[in-house]
Order: sequence, then C-alpha cells, then structure tokens
Amino acid sequence: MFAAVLIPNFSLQAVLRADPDLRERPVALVDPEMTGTPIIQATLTAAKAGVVAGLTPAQAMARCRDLIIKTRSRPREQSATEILLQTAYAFSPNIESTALGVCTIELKQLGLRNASDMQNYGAKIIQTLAPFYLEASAGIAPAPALALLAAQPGRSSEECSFRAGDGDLFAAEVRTPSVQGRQSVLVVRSANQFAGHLPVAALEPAPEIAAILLRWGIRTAGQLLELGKSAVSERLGPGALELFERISEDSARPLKLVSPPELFSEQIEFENEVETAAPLIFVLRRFVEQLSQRLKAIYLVTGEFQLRLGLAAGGQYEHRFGVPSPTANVETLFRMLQTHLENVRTDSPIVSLELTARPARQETHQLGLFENTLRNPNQFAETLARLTALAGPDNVGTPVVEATHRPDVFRMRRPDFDAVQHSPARTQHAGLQLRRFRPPLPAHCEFRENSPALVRSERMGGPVADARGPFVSSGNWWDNQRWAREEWDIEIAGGILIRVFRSEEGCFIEGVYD
Amino acid sequence: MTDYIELHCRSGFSFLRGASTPEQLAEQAAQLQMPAIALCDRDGVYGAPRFFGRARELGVRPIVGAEITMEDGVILPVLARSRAGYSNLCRLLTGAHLRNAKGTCAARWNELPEFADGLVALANSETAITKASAIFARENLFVEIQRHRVRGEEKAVRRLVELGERYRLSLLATNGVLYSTENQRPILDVFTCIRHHTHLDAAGTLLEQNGERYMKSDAQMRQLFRDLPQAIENTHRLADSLDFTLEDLGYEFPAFSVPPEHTMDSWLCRQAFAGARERYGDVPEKVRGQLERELALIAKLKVAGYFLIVWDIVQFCREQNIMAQGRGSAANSTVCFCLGITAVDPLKFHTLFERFLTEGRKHSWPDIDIDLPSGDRRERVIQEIYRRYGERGAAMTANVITYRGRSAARETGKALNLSPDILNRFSSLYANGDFPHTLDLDAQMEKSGLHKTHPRAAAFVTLCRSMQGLPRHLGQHSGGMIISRGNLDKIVPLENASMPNRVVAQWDKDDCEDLGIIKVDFLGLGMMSVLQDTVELTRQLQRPVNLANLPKDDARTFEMMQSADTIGVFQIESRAQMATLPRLKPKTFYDVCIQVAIIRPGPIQGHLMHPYLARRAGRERIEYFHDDLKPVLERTLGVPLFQEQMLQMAMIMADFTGAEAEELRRALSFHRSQDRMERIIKKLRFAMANKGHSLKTIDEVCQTVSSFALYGFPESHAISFGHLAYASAYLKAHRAPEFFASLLNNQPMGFYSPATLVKDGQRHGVKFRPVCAAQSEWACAIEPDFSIRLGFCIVKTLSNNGAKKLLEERQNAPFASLEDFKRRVRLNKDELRTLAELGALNCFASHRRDALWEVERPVRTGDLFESGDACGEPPSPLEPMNYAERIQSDFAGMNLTTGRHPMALLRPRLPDVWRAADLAKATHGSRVRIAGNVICRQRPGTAKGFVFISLEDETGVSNAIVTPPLFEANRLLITEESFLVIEGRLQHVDNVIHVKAEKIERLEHGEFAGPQSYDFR
Repeated sequence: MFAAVLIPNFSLQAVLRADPDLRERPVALVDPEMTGTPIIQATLTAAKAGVVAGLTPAQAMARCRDLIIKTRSRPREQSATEILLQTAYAFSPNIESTALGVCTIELKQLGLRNASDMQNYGAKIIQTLAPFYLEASAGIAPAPALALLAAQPGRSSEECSFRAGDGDLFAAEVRTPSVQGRQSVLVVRSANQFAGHLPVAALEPAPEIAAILLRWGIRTAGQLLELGKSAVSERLGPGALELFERISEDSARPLKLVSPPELFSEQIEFENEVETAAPLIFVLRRFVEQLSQRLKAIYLVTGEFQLRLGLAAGGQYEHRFGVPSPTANVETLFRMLQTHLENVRTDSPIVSLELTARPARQETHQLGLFENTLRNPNQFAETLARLTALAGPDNVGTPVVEATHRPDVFRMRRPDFDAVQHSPARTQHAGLQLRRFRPPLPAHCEFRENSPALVRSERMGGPVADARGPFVSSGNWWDNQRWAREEWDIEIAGGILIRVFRSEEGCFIEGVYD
Repeated sequence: MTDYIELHCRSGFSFLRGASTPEQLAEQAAQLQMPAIALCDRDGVYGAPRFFGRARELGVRPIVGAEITMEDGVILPVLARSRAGYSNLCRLLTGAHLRNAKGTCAARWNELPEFADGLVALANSETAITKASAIFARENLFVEIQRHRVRGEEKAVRRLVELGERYRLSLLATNGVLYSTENQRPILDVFTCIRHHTHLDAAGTLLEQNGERYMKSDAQMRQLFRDLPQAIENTHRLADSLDFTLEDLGYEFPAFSVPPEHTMDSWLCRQAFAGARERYGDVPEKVRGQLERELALIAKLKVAGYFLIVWDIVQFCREQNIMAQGRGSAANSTVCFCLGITAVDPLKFHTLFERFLTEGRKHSWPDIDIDLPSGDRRERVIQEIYRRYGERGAAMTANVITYRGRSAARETGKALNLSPDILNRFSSLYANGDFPHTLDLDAQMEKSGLHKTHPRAAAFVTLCRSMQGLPRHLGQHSGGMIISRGNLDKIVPLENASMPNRVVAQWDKDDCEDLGIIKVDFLGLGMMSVLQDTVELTRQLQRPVNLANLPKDDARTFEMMQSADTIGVFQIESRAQMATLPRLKPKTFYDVCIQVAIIRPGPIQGHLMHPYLARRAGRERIEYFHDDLKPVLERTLGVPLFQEQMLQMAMIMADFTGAEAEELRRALSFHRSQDRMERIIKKLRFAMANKGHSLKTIDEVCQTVSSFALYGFPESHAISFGHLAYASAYLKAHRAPEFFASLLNNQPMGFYSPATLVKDGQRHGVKFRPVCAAQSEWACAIEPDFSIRLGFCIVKTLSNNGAKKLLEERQNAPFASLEDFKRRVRLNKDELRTLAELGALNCFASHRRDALWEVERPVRTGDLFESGDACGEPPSPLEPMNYAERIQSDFAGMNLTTGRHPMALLRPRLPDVWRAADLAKATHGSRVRIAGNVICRQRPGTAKGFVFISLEDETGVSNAIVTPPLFEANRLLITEESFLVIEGRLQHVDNVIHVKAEKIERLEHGEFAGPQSYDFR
C-alpha cells in the first residue's frame, strides 16, 4: 500500500504561510509568468464569492470586491516542499517527491494492519503539517497513482456515505482546524467503486485529451472505463492508456525515493520594499519558530543560520551565524539574529528575506573547559562573511563600475575565490588620471560669471588660474535618487590640477589629476 | 530678433527620438525671438506641415529639413534651400524608404549626387564630411558643431574644426535640439527606453547625460561658442539663403485625358449634362441653371480634372460591379449628382453648394468621399488607383497614432519599471476608450496599487500628462488617397505601409488639406457590402430589388423604425438611436436623415436634440433665433441640426461670404485647434453686432455654432447615410432572409454580434439552419424555403483552405459517409472536432457525440476498408448532448446558436426577473429586475458619466441606465461580467423603456457563453 499526501492549492498555501491570517479571507493567487496573469488558485472564501481559476484579476475583483491578489512565489513553494518532504521523512524513509505539493510514501513494513491503522497514520501526517500552516489530505491505496487520486480534495466528502463495511472505501475526516476545506484520509482497497465517483479531471489527462473527453460528455473515471480501453486508445492514443493505468490498482510502481534536503530554509519576497527593521524582525521571528519546529520534528536543532536579504537595487546582503551551542531554543536563536539585524544598514530597501538553518545534533556530551562552540573549522566563505559583517558590505569585494552617467558609481562585487581569476582588460585612458577623494572634499568656491574663481578646502585650494567646464550631468529624475552636478577642471596655484563639482549639497573637490 | 537660428531640431515626429511637438518647437523659437527655425526630423518631413502652420502664425520662418540615415549608419542632416531641393529631399527619402521594409530607411551615398541639388548638408563626423564633400558644393556643406557640456566633447569639436579647415568648409553651430524646453527631457528618456525595450533603471548610459538638448537662446549659444563666433554668425547667413517653405509646394492635381476636341471643362460639361438627361429626362430649368453655375465655378477654380478623375473612378466601380456612392460635401453638388458620383439630388433637399465649393478659398479643395463595400471590393479600387497613377503617383494619407491615456500610461509605467500587475490593473480601469472618464488619475492610481507615496508616482503622473498627443507611430488612413500630377514623391515622401501593396504618404489628411493637396476618401462601409450582397441574393432568388428605385414611403419600413426594430440597420441601430426612434417616429425619408444626424455629440451637447423632439411632438412652440432664419431652419423646426444650416445662419445673420462660411466650416470640422474656433466665433459675433442684432440673438447663434465644433454633421452627409439607413431598413422589412444572410457574411461590422443578429432574425421569422457538411457553402446562403443555411465562414476554427477542399470534394461527388468525408477532405483534427461538435457532421451520424466519437478514429487507408466505410463498427457508446450542451458547443464553435437563447435555459432560476418583451407591460416607476447577456456597454462623452447597458434575453433586448456613482461602485462587475442581473425603477416614456439601475449583480451562468458585447464606443 501507498500513501499520498497532497496539499491542495499548494502554491497558494505556500504563499499564505507567511501571512496565515489571510487564509480565512478572500485571497487569489496569480502567476505572473502565465500569459494574461490569470488567477490560478483561490481561498475557500474567495471561491465562495465566485473566484475561480482562469479569471483575470480584474474579472475576479468584479466578483469579489475585497479580494486580495497575491503573486505566486517559487521560493515559498520551495520552502513548503521541503517541509512536506521532511515531515513525510519522519514517518517513513521511503518517500517520493511526486509533484508540487504531493509526496508519496511506501507503507510496506510499517506494520499497518487494517484500514483503521492506515487512517490513523494518514491523520498523524496531516496533523504534523498543520503547525506549519499547511493543510493536507491523504489517500491510501494499493498503487501510488490511485493513492494520489484518493487524496484529491473533496473525494472523501463525497465518499463519506461509503463508511467502513460499505464496499472497499474507508473515509475519515481529520479533526484539525482548517480553512481550505475538509482535511481527510481516504483508504481505497479496490478501484472500481472509487472510479465511479472520481471526476475524470482527477486523472489529469493531457489538455487535448481532457478537451475531447469533455466534448464526449465523459465526466467520471467510471464513464471512461465503460468506453473500453481499446476503443479509447484507438482514438486517443497512448495518452489515454495512461489514464487507465492511473485508475488501476494493479499499476504499482517503484517509488523514486528521495531524501529531504539537509538545509532547512524559509524565504519570502516582500510585496512592498522594506525600509525599516521592524517588519523584518516580525517575519524573522516567525521563520525561527518554523525552522525550529521543523528540526524538532526530526529530532535535530539549529547549528547555523544563514541570513540573506535581497536588495531592491540588486544584489543581496548575506550573513552567516554560527550557533555556538546548537539549540532549538527560539528565544536564543532569535536574539542572535535580532541583535545583528538592528545594526545592519543596506544601500537600498529590502525586497526578500531568506533564512536557512543548518541542522546539528543536540550536544549531549560534556564540553572541554576551553572548547568553545565553534567546533567546525572556519571555512573560507564563513571568514569572508564575517569580514563583510565587520567591515561593512561596501568595503569588501571588487568594485564594478555601474552603467550610469553618474560619476564614481560602483558596487562591490563579492569576490568569487573559487572561480579562476582573470585580470579585467584595462581601459585605455587618453587623458590625465584622476586620483579621487572618497568621499570628496567639501570645498568653498567663489564663482565669477558662473566659473570658479577661488577654491578653498581643508587640504588644498587657492585662486583659480584656469578652469574648463562646466560639464553638466544629471539623472535619476524619476525617483528620490535624483542628482545633478556641474563640474570643472581647475588649475590652482602650483600648477595643481583638480576636479571640482557643485551639486545640491554644495561644492566639493572630487580629486586631483596626476 | 536674434542672430542665432536653430537649424537642427527634432520633434516627436522623429518617432521616439524627439520629445516636443513641432508646434512647441515653433512656439519656443518665437519665445526666443528667433526669426527662423529648421525642423529636421529623422528620415522624414512628417511634422513639417504642423510646424509650418504654427511657425507662420507666430511670424517665425519655418525651414524644412530632415536627418537622413545613410547606408553606413551616418546621420546626415539636410536643409531644403529651394523647391527643387525640397523635391529632391522627398524623392531621396521615398527611395530610401520604399526599398526597405516599413520603419527602415537607408539612403545610399552613391545616389546622393542625383538629389543634392537645392539641398544643404550639415556634416558632423569625419565620415560624413569626407563623403559629403565629394557630393555637395562648398557653399552647400557645413561642418555642424554642437556643445552639450559633456566631458570629452571638446576633442570632437576640435577635430571637426580641423576638418572644416582642411576641406575649407564653414562651421555651423547647432544645439541638436531634441525638446523645446528643459523640462521635457524626461519624455525623451522615456522614449529612449521604449525604443531600446528597456526601463530607466537599466537604461544607464543609453540615456542622455544631461538636459542640455533644449532650444537655447542666442545669448546661451554665443556663450557656448564664444571661441567660434563664426559658427553662430553662419546660422543666420545660412537661414537667410534658404528660400523654401511649404507654401511653395508646387502641388498640382493630375490632368484628365480628354478627346482632342475638348478641354477638361467642356468634357466635364458634356458628361454632366449627359448625366442630367439620364437622371431627369428633360432637364428642368432649375437643374440646368444650377449645373451651369457650378460648372462655371469649377472652370474658374480649374478643378474640372478632379471631377473627371473621380467620375472615372466611379465609372470603373460600375464596370466592376462595385457599388459606389459619393458622400461628404459632394452631395451638395448637382454636378456630382448628374455625374453619378452621388445619389442625392441636392436641389430636392435644398442643400448648400457653398458647403462643397466656393470661390476665394485658398487651401480648400472640393471634398468628395466615395463609400465602397468594405473588403476586397474596396481594395480592388485602391489598387486600380495605384495602377493608374503609379507607385509614386498616388498614396494613402497617413494616420498619426498619438499617445493617449492608456498607451501613455502603459509605456510610461514600463519605462519607470513599475510592476506589470500595477500596469495591468491601471489599464483595465480604462474601460471607456477615448471618452473622458470619471475616474480621476489619482483614484485610478490608487485603485491599481500605485500609491501617491510611491517614489515614482509623481514622475508617472507628470509623464502621462506630458506624453499625451505626442506621435507614437505612423499608420495609414482608412481610405484617404492623394494623387498628384507628375510624381507625388516630389511633394511628400512616400513609404511602405504594413499592408502589402500599399504606399503611404508621410502626412495625414488634415496636413494635406492644409497644404492644398486634394484627397479622395475611399471609405469601406460594411453596409455597402451588405446591400450589394443582399441585392445579388434577391436577384438569385428571383425577387429582385432595385436600390435606386426603392419606394420612399414604405409603411412597413417606417413602422419598423418607429418601434425601434432596427438591429442590423445602418446608423440607426445603436442603443441611443433606438432610444430616440420611438420619440422621433420617422415618417419620411428626410426624417430618417434627421434621425441619423440627431444622435451626434454636436446636437446633444448643443442641447438641440430635446427641443427638436419636443417641437416635433407638439410639446414646444416652433421658434426661430431670428425671422430671417426661417427659410433655413424651417425644415428642422427652428432647431439647427446640420452644419450647412450653421453656415447659412452665418451668411444671413453676419453677412459671411462663401469663403468666410468655408472658414467657419473648417473651424467646425477641424480637429486640432480650439484657437481657430475661438477666432471665427469672435469674427461672427463682431459681424452680427455690426449688423445690429441683439445681444441675446448673437449669444444664441454663437452658442449654437460653438457647440457644433468638432462634431458638426453635414446635411449632405446625413442624406447620403439616410439613403443607406433607409435601404437597409427596407431590406430588413421586405427581404429579411437575404438581408440577415448578407449581414452574417460581412462580419465583423455594425453594432451587434452575429449571435444577436441571428436572434433578431429569428424574431422576424427567419429560420436559421445549422452548418452542414453536406449542404453549407462558404457563405451563409438562402435555401429554397427562404431559410438561411449557415455557411462555413461562421465556423471559428475551419480554415479557408479546409472549407475550399470540402466544397471541391463535395462538388466532385457527395460524401457517402463520415469515413468517406474524413478520407477525402483531410481536415485537421481540430477542424473535424469543431464540425462534429457543431452538428455539421450530423448528416453522417446520429448525433453530435456520435460524430465526435467517429472523427477521433484514425482514417483507414490502403487496407480492406479503403473503399468501404466503418461497416461493422459498433455504435458510439456516447450519450447524445443535451440542449444546454448543444448551445455551449454552438457558442464555442461559432459564437452563436441557431437554438434557444442561453437565457431561456437560465430562466427557470429567475422567477422574479422580467423578460425584455414583457417590460412594456410593467408600470412606469415600478421596481423590476432584468437579466441577460451583456451585449452593449456604453458611456458616451455626452452623457456626463452615465453608463448604458443592454442585456439580451430570449425575447429581446432590455436597457439599463447606470448612474456614475453606481458605475464607480461596480466598475469591474459591469465591465468584466458577461451576464448581469439589474434591479431598478422602470422608466417608460414615449414608448422608450429603460431601467434606472439601483443594484447590479452577477448572473451565475455556468458554462454558457453568450453574444459578445459592443463596449464603450
């Protein structure tokens, strides 16, 4: 026998984990990668208002004025998939990542003797997933495909009349708080009775075959079976044969076994750019709780955190936190992150957050007197991360000039020490080389006919012997990063050539020509 | 006046390479007191007429030029020194455009010598100087230098100065202006992003480094070039030597070839009188006199050739059996009527000849528009014009597509890197196309998720507003053609249109009219096709109708109009027309013309419609602004409804001459200039005051005339359209099967979807039979019992080739079975499935699903079944479709059903909802609920934000009025849902029924589709 654990509306549930209060409100999920950005999934509340897959957001909002539109998030789905697999792994070592939001478990040798045992087994998995804000259904059947069909949402409710003893179907509701609909376990011992109630769409036929079956008026798997395998396959080809296989209890196949990932991560892409620490800390707290809980479920604790903040201007802020003494204590872990985060300054607002936990075993042995918590040798990357944290992200890395007219704009690219180093081709400069002051030197300038006549600063200055300019540049007029400046090349006493610029902030000496 | 003259400006007509309109550039030049200015748009003179018009008004001399893209990528700005130079520029650009695909232009260096005469080139690179110096004489080639305060440019300038010295060429300073004022630089940056398919955050160095490409003053330019003062002086010297302006265009209409013993005038006279004899038999004295007057004026204005050419084209149409009817102001001309160009006898309707042709007007030629059946027949006429006048002798006029609300917002949003979600939501809130809509920009931004506090919101707002009206791209006008004596490419550059075999000029029809270029509009009218096809069908069915001799007093036709039974009828089928017909109650042909004209923004905005209807119903006394106006306004009960009446009022009340009346007409119909309208109203007011009219009369007349601005509808036009409206109503009343079949065969057209037309036809007793593989033709056809057999043209997925093959095979031998059909026709699976699903294969099967079961079975060839059929095959195990499924299949396969309306199936669920046909029984003011498929949503600009919704059910159409607040509260529900339930108070006045909506809900309609809606037009 096989158990299929299915998280219905998986993409939507994955997104709503970050904001579980929304699960009871009308929310619809759109996929921006699909043409026309249609609705792909909706909460029960939204569905009750008439929001169905395929509507455009405008159409959906016409049906449900308070509808909240969310965007599909692959990172959130990745996190939810990890939880599903890691949870299943806690129940059996033989698990398969069958599809998005679907995990199949082989039940052989687990000692489940009757339908009741199986129902309890399925219910436990569902209950374990609930604290992670994932609502699931389970189906148990002699073949993996059949188990998946049995796990389809709504099946159990229809088959509730088929109580134990009424044929070969055994349905039970799992009593956990649910906002998606009924959470249930259905045990199927024979396919025939089950097929009569199973919508043909549950067999997931290819779109073309689905369209033909619809035209034929075939709505249930039972009706399909009645047409006859050979007559259907003659007309619809091998794709139709697969449908017959899916509903067959004899089509057991070996599972493609997987191990759940060793890293445990939670991530979120913010809908609005985050500019203060408060919302970050709120989300981070929830992530720490979730990660600790996930690790606890498999009897592990957190050995290291890796924090990644995606920045609006591109790039990301990254920091690793070795946990001196691996622990599952949420407060301890959270304080460590919070302290760091409160001192972090980023160049631009934050658009995403990812927290990854590296699991470690709970230390149970006695530590030596001088042993500290860093038991693993420092890896090079970790050292670099620490350096970055100490010196600031702007001061570690390789400068890369940005494609903009704004002078001296560059970003620091984190060195990739693993890659082969190539010296960048040198740009041929015909003129004099400018030695820049970073930051530029504030200066006092006196102008005559819009040309500098006198320059004074802490380090250099004097009457202007000759000046070229102004050279004018401006940009980023479209947001609050706007800038404008005029610059001059100036010769001052002693034949020193300097570059001076004037902007909204005042006059500055930008550099000295060699 | 300043010394410095800007000789290198690009406008928005450089299409994404310039950010100001030509008018803005001219205005800025005037502001800076420049005596002249040159416009050099990229690869064309697209903006030259507007630039010329505005600059001349402001006293700035407009110099014409263009930036030419050379084959090696060099951009060579040139200026026209003389008319010859301008012609050469146009011909050079034409060649460079026509040998490339639309949107690409590349002139060859080796062809430049042929066109260099009369041109002055500005070279600004070493390559350009080297190559151009071998082509242009020294006095016609300048080294162009620009300074934009950019680091490194000085080196380039020094190099250019050296080259100038080496080639002994003069220096010329320009600023390479890309926008008139500094604040327009953001628009250029946005355009740059659009052009490079990127956004501002990623554009980087593609953007301009600074905002220095605006039009600078003499002082600014002198300061910039203080080390090279001669470069400034030379701008003045060069500008003085450039004589050419567009005033000296040298356009002539082509001559018409006449027999040697005739002049064009005498030949026209002969043809006009010959036509008069055909029209009238013995030509009445009144007609003779009018003909002589018109012919004399035509001879005086030397436009006989124009009439003969148009006459010749109409003759061609007749020979080719293509229905053609002149309209526009030509319908005021007895000569046009006698030549057979128009179908309206102007003397019968007292129309105004001065509306068509007057002495003394400088730039306004007679305007003859020819309505042709749309589609292939019109294309044949257009291709005949190209054949007669050559690729470079005739061209379609351009249609300049400009940035409007939605397009400006979308492009700006993309450039600002706003999320597609926001932009999609923003666009979806623009439900009302061109109409001014009630949702202000702030609210629209808020609703679409772009909050005021968004760092880019301010830029978005500013840019959306400033991009309005700037050119986006060049299309072709739907039917306007210009032709010229000699080659048209000497007058205006020509280029390829997107459509194959079409050449388009760089100017639009208003530009052409401004510059005195005669155009002929060949407008495609779907209804002309319908009429022609209907007449042909009636002939085939041996109950012919002659459109020229329709009885003008047919009771059944008028009865139908009076009861607003006009779905499918030309011009009077819209919701607004239907709401007026029971009030106006047309009884004569002229009433139909009034009906056509009265539902226009002009009469509605001028508050003329209701007084007319009230006077007609006897509820209001007939009054005139002035007793002298009685002869002019009597036929419209004292209410001026037509443009001609406006002109006559001006002539009577203000003693306007014919030329002044023409000036008024142009102001009324000119779509660009509010100033122009204000000037002529001022003149009218002054002249009326001089004549001693009271202030009240002056105000009334001026108010009425003003309200006609932009929307003036000529009586001649109304009469021409009235003809088509009456003819189509007559055919609907008396030849319904032929008429409905022709309507379906000429889709898309008109106001209603084919589904609605079929339902209306059924209500008129027409029987529609489904598509059938054994009996249908490509087009919908009439069967011997006068039912309409739907044709394959209705089937959505059936290809032309598939249908053709089917018809060929069926012609060879009838199909013996479905297997035989599949084997011989070889349609693809989708086509077969659609035919089966529609029941088109029921001739070979017991029901639709039986056919669907069979079409999926592979065709058996080369085996024992080769000649036979599927003998021995068990019957299909599939259940037949039920009624609802058949309707769904019909809509899925052809967007209509010959069966019952989907609402008939939903009806049992709607016990408290009134059917459209029953609403007449409800009492005025009672609360009712109506429901149906939305077939029309309208929000006319004249309705102050009110929305009109038409719902179709199984009995007809019901109409609802939605107030602006209710619309705003239910905007998406109204615009997105295809089935609605509307609750409100019934208004039943003058036989017109509306429901004033108070509550709107979605009607759950399951899988049913319905007719498509005609929205917001």
